[in-house]
Order: sequence, then C-alpha cells, then structure tokens
Amino acid sequence: MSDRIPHISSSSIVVVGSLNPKIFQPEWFVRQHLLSTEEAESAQIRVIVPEIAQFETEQFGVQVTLDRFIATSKPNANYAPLRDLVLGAFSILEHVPVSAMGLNRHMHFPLDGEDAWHKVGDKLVPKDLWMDALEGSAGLRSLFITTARGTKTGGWREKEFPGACYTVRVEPSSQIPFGVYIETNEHYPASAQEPLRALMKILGERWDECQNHALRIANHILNWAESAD
Amino acid sequence: MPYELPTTSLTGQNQPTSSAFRQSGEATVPIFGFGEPGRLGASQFPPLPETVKSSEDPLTFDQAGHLRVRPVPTRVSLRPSVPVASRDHAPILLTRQLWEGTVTEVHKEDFVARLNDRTNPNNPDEEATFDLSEVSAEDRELVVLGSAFYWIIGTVITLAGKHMNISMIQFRRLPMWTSRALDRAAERAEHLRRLFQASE
Repeated sequence: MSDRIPHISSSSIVVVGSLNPKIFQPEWFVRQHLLSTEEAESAQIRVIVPEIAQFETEQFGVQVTLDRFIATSKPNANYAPLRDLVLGAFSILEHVPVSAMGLNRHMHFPLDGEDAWHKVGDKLVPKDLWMDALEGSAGLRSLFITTARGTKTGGWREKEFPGACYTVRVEPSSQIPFGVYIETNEHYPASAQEPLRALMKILGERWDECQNHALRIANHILNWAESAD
Repeated sequence: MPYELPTTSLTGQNQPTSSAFRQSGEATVPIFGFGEPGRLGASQFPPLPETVKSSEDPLTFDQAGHLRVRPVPTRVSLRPSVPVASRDHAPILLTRQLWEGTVTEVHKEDFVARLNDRTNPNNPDEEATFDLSEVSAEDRELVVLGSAFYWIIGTVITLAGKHMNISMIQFRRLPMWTSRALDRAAERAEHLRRLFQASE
C-alpha cells in the first residue's frame, strides 16, 4: 500500500524552561542570522510583553511564555528549517535553564468518505461498551496512547532516551470533512548534565527521523484501521 | 496520581473554525465511529467545559460556627492558542522528496552540491548542479562553499484546487560562530593535540 501524505501538516518544537519572552522578537532572530530581513519585516507580531511574545512569519509561528518556548512550522511548509531556527536560538542562549523538550508533528488525512471515517473511529475504539451505557450515538472525540518503551515501527528506542515517552493522539479532523487528525509527541526530559546541550543534540539528530517516523505511525494506524476485519 | 500529558505536547487541533462538516448533511447511521456528522462533527464540538478550580471551598465556618467567606479567585491566566496545522486559506505544499545539500563548487551561473536524501536516508549521496536563478534573491548571499540548503520536490495545491509540481531551494540559516565558541573549539583542539603528542 502506498504511503498516505497528509493534506495538512505542520511540525512544532516545544522547550520547557525558564525563559525571557521579550528576547524573542523577529529583529533578534535577524541579528542572529536565523531569519532573513524580508521574512522578519513581514512578520505579524501578535504580542510582545514581558510575559509573552508571539509572532508569525511566512514559515514559522513562535510563542514564548515565561515557562515555554513553542515554535511551529506553518501548515505544509518545509519542516526542516524549524530545527535550524530552534537550534540556532538555543545555541546562542546557551545558559537558559530547561527541563524538557517535545518534538511534534500534526497531520490531517482525508479518508474515502463517511463510512471509512466511521470505520477508523470504530476500530480504534469499539463502541459496544459505550452503547450499553450511553444514550445516543457515542463517538470518539480524542484518543491518546503513550509509551515509554519505544516503538516497533523503527525510529524510537527506550534505551537511547531514558525517561522519554512517545504519545500519539487521534481525533476527527476539524479541517477536512471526514478526515482524521493524528499528532505525535516525542517528549524528552532534560538530563542533569548540560541539559540544554543534550536536548539540542537530540533535536539535531532526531528531527528528520522524528518527522518521518510520525508519518509511518500515522500510515500504520490508518492502514490498520481501514483494513478488512 | 492522575496521569498528565507531557508538557511538551501541544493542545491538539485549533479551535473549530470551519463549517467543514456542514456539507455532510444530516445523514444518520446506527453506529457512529467518530460521532454524528452534521450534529457532532469535529468542527461543531461544543467547547470543553472549563472550570476554575479553587484549592479551598469559598464557604467555610470557623470554630464558633460563624460563616467565613474565603477570597474567590478573580482572574485566571489562559495560555493563548498556538495555530498549528490549519488550512489557513493558503496553498497546500505536499513535500514528496526532501534533500539536504552542501555546496561544493560555486560558479558564475550555477553551483554544484552534494545531496543527502532526508526522505529516505538509506539512499546514497548524489551530486547535482543548480542554476543560481533557482535561488531566491534573499538567499543568494548564502550560496558559498560549504553552505547547506534544502531542496524540496513537491506539489502545490492552489486555493482553486489546481496541482502544480514544484522544485524549491531554501538555504539553511545557521547561527554565526561566536568568538566564545571559537575559543572553546580552539581549546579543545589544543587539548587533543597534546593528547596525541603524549601518546606518540
């Protein structure tokens, strides 16, 4: 079966720590050679105050609060430059205290109509139990599955990342009629020794594989869910 | 202790913004795998109940039996949503192939690069020549020996639904080496040099 490609896809990197949001302005990224002048000049600044900075450029969305840095790629933009932006920012801010990092991918897949859409929900969460207890048509709204023991589809091994966990979220898509939303989260706690450097090393080495692996997981879920019983 | 989602996971999809499911009509089937379309599509979910939880009951009585009203929270901090993976009324780019290139030769009209397949890392490296006119004006100054770029082959789906195959080159923007980082690298090189000399 050929690989499905999400019709809408974006990626995000979350760094949890103690941050100074006011630093993270488009001009700062230009000064550090991480954004082009053109992209920074056309950035839409949502808010920049001591507690929060949020802006969007053609390629990225950035939100920084006192305890969280979030950078997202714009829908269907190339995910690769997002890594450079975050690696660049935190290689300059090398003394920021951090406690965790998440590498995420967000994907919306179209399905072949309403029947196929229901079949995915029913196979992931059979409704027998719920129909005995709830009135009406109970439907799957959000499903989370988490493991700290690695994945069989390649790409993520427990022994390589002690304390890390892998979470998959499945929901009906809010963007595509009869579509499915699948999100993956690779969560890495910071190590005691050089926490920021260790997390950035993971980001540098894992990012491509993290994004490819998320697509493999999504294909695995949808192919299984749409297969004959 | 209740399980909590990792703090590095975002909050899922954006708030429902479209009428994506209205076109599904009011069709009804006996069992609904994902909820009842038209009445409970993802675009029409009512907001999840949100309650502000106080750590103490605001109405309590002291030892003498008098009513004591504890302060009730007067404000709550809500984190602004981060837009992720929404259609956003923009063309859709489907990336079919992604390479990472390193510039090995720069000529007047073109440049040569070694390419590493990021979509399928098992594929061997290749070499290709690119016309400089394929590089956007704001990236031209980045075309130097050793610089890195992404080469994307994909399809753009326009708002009108047209499919266009594209090839796009985007140069990587990496932080400049700081003098501190250079000093540190020099120190490490000196340390390694001494180690090698001592082992001879």
